[in-house]
This record gives sequence, C-alpha cells and structure tokens, in this order.
Amino acid sequence: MVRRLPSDEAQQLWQEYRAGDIYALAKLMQSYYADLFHWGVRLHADREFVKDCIQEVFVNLWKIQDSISSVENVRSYLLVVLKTRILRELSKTQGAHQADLSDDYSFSVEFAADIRLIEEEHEVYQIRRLERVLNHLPQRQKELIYLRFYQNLSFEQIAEIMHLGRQSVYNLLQKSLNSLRKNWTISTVGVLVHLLQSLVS
Amino acid sequence: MKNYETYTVADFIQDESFQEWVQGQGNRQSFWLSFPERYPEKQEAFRQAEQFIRAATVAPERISDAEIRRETEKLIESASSYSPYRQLVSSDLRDDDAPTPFRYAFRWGMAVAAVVAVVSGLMWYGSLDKPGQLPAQLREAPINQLVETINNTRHPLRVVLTDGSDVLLSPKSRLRYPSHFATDSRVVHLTGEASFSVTRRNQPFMVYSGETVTKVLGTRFVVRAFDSDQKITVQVLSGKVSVYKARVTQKPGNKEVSGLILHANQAAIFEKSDGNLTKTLVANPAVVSRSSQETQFVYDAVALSVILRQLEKSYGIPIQFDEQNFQACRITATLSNESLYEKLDLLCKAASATYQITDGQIVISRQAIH
Repeated sequence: MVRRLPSDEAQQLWQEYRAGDIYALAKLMQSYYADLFHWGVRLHADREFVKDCIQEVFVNLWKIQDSISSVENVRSYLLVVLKTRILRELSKTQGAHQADLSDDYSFSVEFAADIRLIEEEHEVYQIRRLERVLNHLPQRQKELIYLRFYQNLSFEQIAEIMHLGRQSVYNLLQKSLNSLRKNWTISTVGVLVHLLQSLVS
Repeated sequence: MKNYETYTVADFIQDESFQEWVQGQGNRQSFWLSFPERYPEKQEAFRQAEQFIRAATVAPERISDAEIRRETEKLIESASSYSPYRQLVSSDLRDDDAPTPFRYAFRWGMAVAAVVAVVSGLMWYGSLDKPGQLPAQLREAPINQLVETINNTRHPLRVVLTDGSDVLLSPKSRLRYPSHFATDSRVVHLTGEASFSVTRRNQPFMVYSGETVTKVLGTRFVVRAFDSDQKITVQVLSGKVSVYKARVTQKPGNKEVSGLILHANQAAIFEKSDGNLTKTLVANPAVVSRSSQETQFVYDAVALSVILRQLEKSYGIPIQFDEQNFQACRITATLSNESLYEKLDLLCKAASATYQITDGQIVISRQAIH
C-alpha cells in the first residue's frame, strides 16, 4: 500500500482546486490515482476503460470547479464519483438499465495474504485459512472488507460509497455473519465476526 | 497515549499505526515489535489482528508511476482548454457525475493576454544564468515532476528546458513545465511574459496561456500573458508560428486547427470581448531580410512601386497597392533609421496617399486621378 496523502493536505489541495488551480487538482489525481485505479478495476477489470473513467472524472471536476462545494473527505468523494461514472458507462455499453446502484453491479476482489515474512508454519496456516474465509464471502461483504482495509475508509464513508443506508449495511453484516457462523467454526472466524460487528458499533 | 489495556482485536485492526506496522510501513516499528512483551495479556488479540490484516490484503494493481504521470499530464492538457475565468456560455448542462447535481458552465472566458514575437529560428542563448538573477521562488512540484518557476525578481530570469530550449522569463511571470518532455509534444504553461528560444525538434512546442495556444516547431518568440492585460496579441518578428484558440479536443498531434499563421512582423490580436482573432502588424516591424540590413534607402526619382517592393522585401510584409494608380509617382528621398511606419508616413505624404494595416498587410491607397 502506498503512503497516502494526509487528509488535511488533501483538503488544502481541494480548496486550491476550487479556487482555480489545475495543478492542485492534478496533484490530487496523482496522489489518489493508484487507489482509484485499484478500486476501478475491482468494478470492471479493463485497465484502459478504468483509466478513461478516471480521466473523465477529473476533467469533469475541472469543468464544474465553479459550482463544486467543499467535501468532507476528498478521497472517499472521488471513490464515489468514480464508481458512479464506471457503473453508468457500463450500463451504457451493456445496454442495461442501471436499476439499483446498491445491488446491481459486480465487485471482484481476491484477498491475498502476504506471508513472505512469516516463519511459523502454524501462523501461515491460520492466515491462509482466514484468507479463504474472506474470499468465500459474498461480493458485498468482500467489498465492505476491501473498503475498510485496503482503502481504509470509515463506516460512514463505506455506507456512502456502497449507496447503502446505515441500517442496510448493518443488515448486510448480520446476514453474512450468520452464514459464517453456520459454515465456519474455526477460531479465526471469531475475529472476523468481531471485526464486522465493530464496523457498525 | 491510547489505552492499550482495553484494546480488542477490532481496536488493533482499526488502529492505523498498527495497520501500517503490519504492512511494513509507519514509523513505530520498535513500539509494535515490543508491544506483546509489554502487554502480555494482549498477545492473543494482537496476533489475531495481525493475522487478519495480513489475510485481508489485496495485491496492488500494476500501474506504473509513468502511467500515472501520463494521465496527470493528460488532465492538465485538456484542462488547459478551459479558461479559469468565468463566463457563462451554457447553464443547462448538468453534471450527473457528482453525488448531488451541480449546474455548471464551460468557461470560455478570455482574460489572459499573450504577445508572441518570433525573432529567429534555431537560436538560443547560452545556458548560463547571469549572477544575481536567482528566482525568488523555484520549486519542484511533486506532480509528474512538473516544475514551476516564478520570477519575483526585477530582472528577466533564464530557464533552460530539457530539450535545450531556452526561456527568458520576465518579472512577475510564472512558467510551468515538465522536467522531462513527453515524447509526442512539448507543452509549457505561461502566466506573464517570456521570451522563448525553441530548439528544433519533430515534436511541436506549445505555449498555453489562458485561452490561446502558440505552436512552433523551433524558433524564438516572446509570449506575454499577464492576467491584467485586456487582449491577447501575438507578435512575430521573424520565422513562422501558428496561433489558435484553445479547444477542448485540441491535442498536440491534431493537425486540424483553426487559427492564424503569422509570418515575420505580423501580429494577431485576440479580443476578449468578442473572442475574435485578427491579424495585424507588430508595433515596430524590424528589417528581416539579411541582405537589406545595411541597405540605405536612398532614392532619386525612383518609382514609388519600386520603393514599396523593396520595403516589402526588407520587412517581409506584403504591401498591397494599385500599380497603375502609382505609376507616375516618383520619389526622391533618403530613408535610413526611421521605423517602417515613419517611412510609410513620409512616402504616403509625398505621394498624397494613405496606408492602413489590414489582415497583417499594408494597403496603400489614394483617390484615383482621372
């Protein structure tokens, strides 16, 4: 994971961009490009398509610089805007109607533990097992885990990005926890359950 | 100081410093390494949290810094087509990209002025700065190694670009340029005034200044683009440049441009009020023909048409007049240090004619004598 732009610095750049500085916007683009790209290819695995969408998002931001307001978190705002753009472009090309943003899209993430530095065999086994559990979660839960741990977002930001209300996210969590408890009885699942619950607490 | 005594697995997982440590980053390596020893009762939660973060890792996408840099340059390139000055053109366009609908307007405002003067091609100054002309502010911008130079001194400041092109940046002016030019274009952004000595390359050299783009293949010219200026004027002293209004779709490789091609001593004026780009002449045309550099304009009963053709050649400016009309007109005069306009004044006075500048040319006329 790349060291991210501190959010206060991002806020500063956002203000400068709103004041008409293209270089501030360009710096935001550069700083968050890897994150946005990573997020984009989870939604649609076509590199060039995702790059085009990111480009369009920023060109459009420049066009609307007059009217754009301040945002609470620049990065999660950009993630939302990119997702909207990608899903809209996809619905255009696939001719399908974008009925419901909260459900009608695919999200593919493969959790892959980095075990290079782990010496103990037992530890490796545990991590591999946990990784399998994570990869067997339904798409939306994986998206949730991804947003929390890869993109490091808060629960509120996740709810916004997933176009879900707080209650819906909570329900989604409970549903998946129940299925996890049924199908997995190993100790590591306990960690996961604990974690997912902590997201809504 | 956080209360680690009460930390749960979830607390560890959501502790950014802890996350960073597991991912091999952050500056608290020794703190977290020794943590299990200092909080033995937290060992289990600590280990589980570490395992979880390791398991929840997603491999990064392969996108290179160079790729990101290219995308960022692309943004700046296309954004340059939109003036940062506000002028409403269309208000019924809506951005449906943003979470809440915004109304927005393309800004085709025209508040930046530019003067371009091409003096000669293929030459540039030596790359040494004169002492005492250090920039007041010179910083490496972190994005795609874009470099910004602001001249807050009272003297022109020399900037040498990576392609060997040389820029003399006037006081109170700002130049932004990539530390390395892309392979297909050379693009710089100017606010204020600068004199360019561009080395000849296959890639066009483009100066973005607000709503105007000046494109050359290798020559020397001056761009003036202060925000406070009322119009954009482009002056060419010799050589050839093209000047056009920036467009959204304009890309360096695009050959299809609407604009003016300016030759020696010609100038273009861009009126902010109506957006018109018209051709005229520079304020003080210089002799461009090398052979006539030392020529004394000494005339003893020489036909006016001959004198005008000679001036045309010396200054490289087309002069239009009716040969028949001026057939009988002969001039006796010695012209040397006067400016072109002074010469024209004298000649016209002698010939009872008037001249005007139209479309970058000089048109001489008088009432026909029947």
